[in-house]
Amino acid sequence: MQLEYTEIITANPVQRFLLRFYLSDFPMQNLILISPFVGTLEGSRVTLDGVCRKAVERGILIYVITRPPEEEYHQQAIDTFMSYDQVELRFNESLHAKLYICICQDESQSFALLGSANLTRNSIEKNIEIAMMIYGRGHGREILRELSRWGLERLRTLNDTKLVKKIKCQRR
Amino acid sequence: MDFKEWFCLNGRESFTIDPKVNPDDARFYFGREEIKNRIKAQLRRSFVEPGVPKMVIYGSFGSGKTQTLFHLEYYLQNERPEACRQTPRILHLDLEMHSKSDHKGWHLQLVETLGKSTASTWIDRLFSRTQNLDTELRSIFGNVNMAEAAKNLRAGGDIGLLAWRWFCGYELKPNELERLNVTRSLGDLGSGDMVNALVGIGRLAERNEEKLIFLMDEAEQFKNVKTGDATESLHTYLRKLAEPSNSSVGFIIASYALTLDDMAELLVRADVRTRIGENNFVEIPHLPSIRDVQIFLRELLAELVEQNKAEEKIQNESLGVSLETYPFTAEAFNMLCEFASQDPTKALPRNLIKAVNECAISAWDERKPIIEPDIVNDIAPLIFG
Repeated sequence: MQLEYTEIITANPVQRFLLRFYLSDFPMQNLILISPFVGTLEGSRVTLDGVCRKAVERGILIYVITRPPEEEYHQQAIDTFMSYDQVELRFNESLHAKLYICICQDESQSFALLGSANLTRNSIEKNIEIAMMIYGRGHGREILRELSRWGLERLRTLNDTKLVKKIKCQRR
Repeated sequence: MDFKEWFCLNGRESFTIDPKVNPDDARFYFGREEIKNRIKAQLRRSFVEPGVPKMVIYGSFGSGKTQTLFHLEYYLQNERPEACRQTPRILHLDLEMHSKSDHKGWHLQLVETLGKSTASTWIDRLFSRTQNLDTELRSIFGNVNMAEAAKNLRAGGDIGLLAWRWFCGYELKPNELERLNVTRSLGDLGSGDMVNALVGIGRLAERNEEKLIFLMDEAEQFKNVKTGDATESLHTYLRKLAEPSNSSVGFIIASYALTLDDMAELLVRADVRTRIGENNFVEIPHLPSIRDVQIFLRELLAELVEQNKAEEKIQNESLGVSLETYPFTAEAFNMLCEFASQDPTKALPRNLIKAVNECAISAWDERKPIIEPDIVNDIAPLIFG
């Protein structure tokens, strides 16, 4: 089902979001990844490393908020994030929300995914997930702004959200 | 203590301003006195009878076009120009155009933004004041079909909805037209007829002591239209709306464009430009000098930081910063202004607000009460570099 600015996605929503990010050519500014659990996504169509590499090539800043890792797969994903200068990483033990936002220079190109899916291979290959993709058109723009403010400002500044890694600036 | 209290924010969660999320933010227009005064002067002039605002503003992403539209609404609602005799009825819409969108789609967006209930209320009020509604409506719309459809807007149920669909430009079936007592659908005679209907609605608003003004954002969407016929129909619709004979429906269109030539071609064709007037094409520029950036940031901080609380905090905690630049130290503030001014094309309100927010979040992470130069040195290159 697709309205003008939202779309309900029941098949591999996280992969749909990542593919849109990975394949789109318009100028992007920020990628916000909010997921309690994160994997490297090795073996799926778009890997976490691929996402980070695109961000480096295109000067996109990535903001990640996840739970502190307890499992090996989660730690490996954290290691991936830690190896990229353009990634900011924060932990919040209470995090349950799953929200992914790509903020583009032209707001009408921005998009977000809000739903049940973690940023893991299980959510792509095994789990039954549902999510809503929101596009920066019409009323979608206001929803995206609210979600961006929540993700980029409110969640990052909660007392129990701890900064793990800052973005390192590549000076020109 | 949370982020808001940490930086003595004035009833808000962050340093972000966004009138779409928080309508009170429409009152802000930091810095840029010259452009603000110029637009307001143009607006005041535009109301000199018989007249309505017809204006196009343009600028790059983040230059503040949307903020300008909301601020102009705030201005018109709170400091109504003397020449504007009626109460402005301001309607916002974000234009949406696709490859085949034509004048019908645009008309539909405009009329739906107004809404059936508003139009019905206006007809109801007119009915209560006049002895002969038919004659009155014919004088307002100057067309029998429009007057008949407008009369039916008073009716509830199917017939009222049918009349509204007629005004929206939907093609109605013969039996539906018969029920409305009209001889054709609104769009049958092309875009001119639709503009006439909209202008008629504008005159209806005037009879109700209101002035209809549309604020249309994202006019770069016109570039999505790829069909020649559709583009021509949109152009005709705009040209007719811009005609001097339309003194009832005002509009301010905002578009992303770095220069006039960068706009959707139909907005800047000679016939449209002469009708709208060259002075009414206004660029919303970046902040051209370091002084402009300083003024913008000082005004922003003065509004978003609760001054009494901040002053108390500065004294109690011996922070050694001035209220004028709080929560930045003077050195950090100047450093931010310098970073922002290095590439003038990046000295944009959106970037400045983002920089202030990110610097504050960085200080919050380290539980520092003030923003020092090392933080600006980390953050500013990410945004202005």
